Amino acid sequence: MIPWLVRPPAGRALVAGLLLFLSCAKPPQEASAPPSDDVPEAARYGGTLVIGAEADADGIAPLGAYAVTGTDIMSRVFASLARTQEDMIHYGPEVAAAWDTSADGKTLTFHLRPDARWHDGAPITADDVVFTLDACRDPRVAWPHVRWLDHVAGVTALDSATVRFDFDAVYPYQVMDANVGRILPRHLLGGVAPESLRSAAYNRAPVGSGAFRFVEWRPQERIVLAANPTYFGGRPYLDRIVWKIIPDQTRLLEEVKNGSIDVYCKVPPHAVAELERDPALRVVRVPSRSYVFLGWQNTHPILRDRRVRRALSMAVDRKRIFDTLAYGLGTLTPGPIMPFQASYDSSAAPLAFDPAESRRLLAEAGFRDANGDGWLERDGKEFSLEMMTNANNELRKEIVVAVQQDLAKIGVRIVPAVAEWTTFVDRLNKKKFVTVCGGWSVSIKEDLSSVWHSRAIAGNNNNCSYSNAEADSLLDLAGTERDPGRRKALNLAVQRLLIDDAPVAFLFNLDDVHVFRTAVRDARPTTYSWAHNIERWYLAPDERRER
Amino acid sequence: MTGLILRRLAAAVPLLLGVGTILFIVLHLAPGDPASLLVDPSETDASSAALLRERLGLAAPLPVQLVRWLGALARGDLGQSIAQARPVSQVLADALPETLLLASVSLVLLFALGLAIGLVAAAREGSLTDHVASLVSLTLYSVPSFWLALVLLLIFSDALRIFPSSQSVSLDHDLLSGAGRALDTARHLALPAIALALGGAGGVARHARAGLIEAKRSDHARTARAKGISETRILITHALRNALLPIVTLVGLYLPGLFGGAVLVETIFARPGLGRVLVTAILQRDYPVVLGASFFFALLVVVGSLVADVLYAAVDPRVREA
Repeated sequence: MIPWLVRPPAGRALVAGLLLFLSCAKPPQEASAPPSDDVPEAARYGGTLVIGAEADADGIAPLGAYAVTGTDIMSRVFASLARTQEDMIHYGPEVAAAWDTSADGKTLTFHLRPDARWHDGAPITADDVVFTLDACRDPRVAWPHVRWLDHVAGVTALDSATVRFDFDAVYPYQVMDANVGRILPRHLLGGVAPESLRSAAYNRAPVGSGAFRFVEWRPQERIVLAANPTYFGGRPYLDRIVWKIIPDQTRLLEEVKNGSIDVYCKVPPHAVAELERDPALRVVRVPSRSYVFLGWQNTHPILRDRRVRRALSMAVDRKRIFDTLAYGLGTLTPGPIMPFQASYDSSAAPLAFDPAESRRLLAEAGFRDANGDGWLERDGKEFSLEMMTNANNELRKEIVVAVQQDLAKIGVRIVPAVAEWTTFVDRLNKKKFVTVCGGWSVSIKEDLSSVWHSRAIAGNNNNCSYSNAEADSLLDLAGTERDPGRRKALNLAVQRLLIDDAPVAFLFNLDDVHVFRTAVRDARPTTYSWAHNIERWYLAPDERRER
Repeated sequence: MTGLILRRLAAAVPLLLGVGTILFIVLHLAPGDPASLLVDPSETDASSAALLRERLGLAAPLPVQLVRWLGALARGDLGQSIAQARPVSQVLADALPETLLLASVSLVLLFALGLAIGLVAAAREGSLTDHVASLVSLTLYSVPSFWLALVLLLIFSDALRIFPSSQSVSLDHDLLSGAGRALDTARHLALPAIALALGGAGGVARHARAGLIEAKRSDHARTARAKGISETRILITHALRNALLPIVTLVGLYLPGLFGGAVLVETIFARPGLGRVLVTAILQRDYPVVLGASFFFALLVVVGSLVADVLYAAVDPRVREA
């Protein structure tokens, strides 16, 4: 049995809300204390919240939303069986009032709330859940996340309010996998051909089931939601939410400062200090899921040598880069395990910054400055590497320059190559780069093997082609290990190998920084979602405006 | 006149076909593909991207894709947007009215302002007013519209707060009265339209001044002067009509510039429109939308120059008879 996961004792329903506070994630850091909670419950209802967004949505229904704005909005309009709690590991009830696990651990049975309704008044039934899972797995639909359902062997409606999920294995993320597709209304989409589900008009004007219902979408301008007064989880406080689309960071900053928008999520790091000084704003920092790294192509004739990769990694002063370029907004993580994850160990030793050791290692690998020009050579060829990064990321471009300076000190020449985003992704996926300054967003599921197992070289994740038989066997063990303590030990052993082999230089985990007008109360962003508890956000009564 | 229009329309067909083919080839030469952007690289592997590529018709060889696209285009079908999963025609139809409004208001502003500056300069040829007008028009002509847009924003929106800084209407637009709605739209349109118009206005002013001065010196102006008609009347009734001829053809020249400028101005002012559709689609490698939007721009330019030719014929009988 795994005590720290939502796994109810066999045969007994679990009220997962009880587990809400067993958080293992670092709590959000408040730049200023949140306003005192002095507004009585009845006075919290009302007002329009305006959120600034950099890009328009692609769609706002489950099969049509894949980009940031679209999925943010879709998650407000659609309910799921169970919903993630603040710690991102446990699940609480939503459409399902409760669920139980079979004795063998391979079956989950969800019991739906009898009062759960679609926005048009139709009840949400077990048939809707079955329809959703069938649609997600239908190859004609071509749902891009279909692999998330690999372990779901079957979904059956036992009666209109009971649905059973059968899994092909016992593993910790069963509830998560049962909830990857938000429930779709069979009564509205059952007649649509599977090929057309992703392009159905429904995806732009959906009838949903969540705390907010869809009102209006003016393309490239705004998307408006209104409170669902009959939401079975309780009516949200806000009357309306408007996503105002402004494709320019400078304009977004200006508008949050002058009050045209109330919320701006993921503000650029350089703006944080100024925003923090503004008394009308509240800045909230949350550890993000992503880290920045310098990737070495492990199959490259020079970088194949572990000593060279270590030498390069040890010559980069990541503390200085973190403090000056990232404004210290994040955590100097030792490896690929992020602070929000259960296996994180802040005391794990990173690869030390040690240029003297770098020089020694490079000399050992045969690099000398034979012609005395300050750059190293081997076999008559200068040690020069191209470092790729993407044009639309200012931080990474600045990091490449800093790395160029650091490595010049040990005689290695870095040639920056800036690629436009789509080109960057393409070269990354095809492994057509020598070194790269990139970022990686870590999955909620603790699964190092999807990136670092040699098996993953064939896919798009292990772009630096890391391959170590010992790491592979440890990763295989971690994948099937059910005891969390032993799993953490295995994950940390893999991290140790990754730090020592230096397939990449791990730089740091960035914070997501969100800014709110102080009129917005009770907003508690998490690593998983800035809008985590948006149903409970409210606007200070004297600061609401008609709009 | 009808013959002229028909001839020009017939010539436009191969032109647009050529534009479409070149657009298609250049676009597909850029690395990267939309399917890889649609899937979450941290959560999926290559097989779902391949599935998606198949579904989007991107797996077929390029020449096959080109023929398919041109064939559909001939039937008036611009295809499906990859990023938005809806017909390209719908994406364009949503954005087109906004861009047409911006471009037409800018065009009117551009010519009104340009002609006014030109008239003042020509009336006082050689005076201080003329020199100042020349300096102003040269400055406007040299300054890029995106820079002007930022300066206008800084002054009239951030500092003075006279005009809103973004979008095409206020959040409470639908709650306003009819007149209130019109005023709201105009307030949002003012800065972008001015930013887009000023550069061209400088050019038109210089053309107008030169044309007016030349016309003022012509024989019929001298005759009018000999008959005792005032300088102002000569300028307005005798010189202006002749000077307008070359300026009318400028409409056709400025149109592509206006649509090109809209790409930047719409992004800076966060206005919906064809320009922003195009920029977003390029970054997403949304091939059908990029092709559709660029093709539409090309079409607008062809139609624009046709209109300019017709206007020219309308004011100049020599062209009409030819």
